[in-house]
Amino acid sequence: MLHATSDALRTRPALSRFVACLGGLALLCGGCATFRIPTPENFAKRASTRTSFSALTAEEEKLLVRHFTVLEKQDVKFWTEAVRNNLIQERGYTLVEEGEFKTDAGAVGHRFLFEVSMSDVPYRYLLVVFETRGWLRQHIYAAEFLCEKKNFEKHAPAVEKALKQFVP
Amino acid sequence: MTPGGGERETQPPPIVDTSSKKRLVIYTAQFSILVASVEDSMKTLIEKIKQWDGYVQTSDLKRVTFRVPAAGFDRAVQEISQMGVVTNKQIQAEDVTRRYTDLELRLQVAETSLKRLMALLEKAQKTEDLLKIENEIRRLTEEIERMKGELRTLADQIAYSTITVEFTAKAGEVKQPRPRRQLSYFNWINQIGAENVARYF
Repeated sequence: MLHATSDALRTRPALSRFVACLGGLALLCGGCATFRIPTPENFAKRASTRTSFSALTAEEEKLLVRHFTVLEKQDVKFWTEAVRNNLIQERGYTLVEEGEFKTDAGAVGHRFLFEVSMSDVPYRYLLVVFETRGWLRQHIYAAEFLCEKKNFEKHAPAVEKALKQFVP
Repeated sequence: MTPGGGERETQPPPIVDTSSKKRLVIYTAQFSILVASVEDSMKTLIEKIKQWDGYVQTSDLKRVTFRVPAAGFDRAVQEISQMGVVTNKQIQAEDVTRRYTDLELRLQVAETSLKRLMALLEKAQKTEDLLKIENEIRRLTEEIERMKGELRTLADQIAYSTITVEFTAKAGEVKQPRPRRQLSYFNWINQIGAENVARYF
């Protein structure tokens, strides 16, 4: 009995250390951003969390990048089709152009440019979607730039340049 | 020198594989599409036509007729359907297998007859016979040329599909996002979109 107690006393600090390490790792990973993107030129960074990044121009045009984890595992082609169906068929967006988008680091995503009006103001909505695979889940990254149509040409090059440096 | 057409150069008939059981089909399509910007949509479509290895046949400010290789017809139709709100869409598939094979057969028969007439012309002695044979050769030569031309046209129509797209700008130029008919099963898709970005900030 005494022997068992001393064994328990011996193993407890090791167990505590292990648990503390796990907790530390979890905290460390929890604090890490799941992607990297530089703030585009002429944008002010508003917030940067583990799963999102937001920035604004002086005209308050909005850039939002978010990370989503999903259970369904599929490739960019599938998600592209799902986005296209939803935004065009279900929400009535107008597709202006679309195509492959490749970052400088070689990540391949899909780029959409939509037109939509809100409160009778025409907007351009640029959406670039990337995906990566995890063990159990899939990671989707959606970079969205919402801009009044009249300002789009002014800011789009800076956004596209920043997206080229996006690292999922 | 042929009595009918002189030294006229003739193009060989087109090569279309009719030996297999593959159907010979001419595909055509017409679209009317409501878009936010006719100008932008025309530019996008012209770019797409290049990507599809097609070429523009005719175009004006809001309408374009173009040809794409038949193998890429389905892809083109699918991508055009996504360019805006399709208000009219007509797709025709005309099976010309029988017409093509009949024409090929008639051409073969006519060419065989022409060869026989040429042989007869060599042997003919009387002026009256010579004139009759020459007239028949002239008629057959013209017929052969017409059939070859028709075969070429058919082969071209089979190889390249013709698509006409007419864009119309929606009143007010752009559309309002309408209430969703149904939420997506993929929840992350429900969270993206212009209205969600505006709300996020």
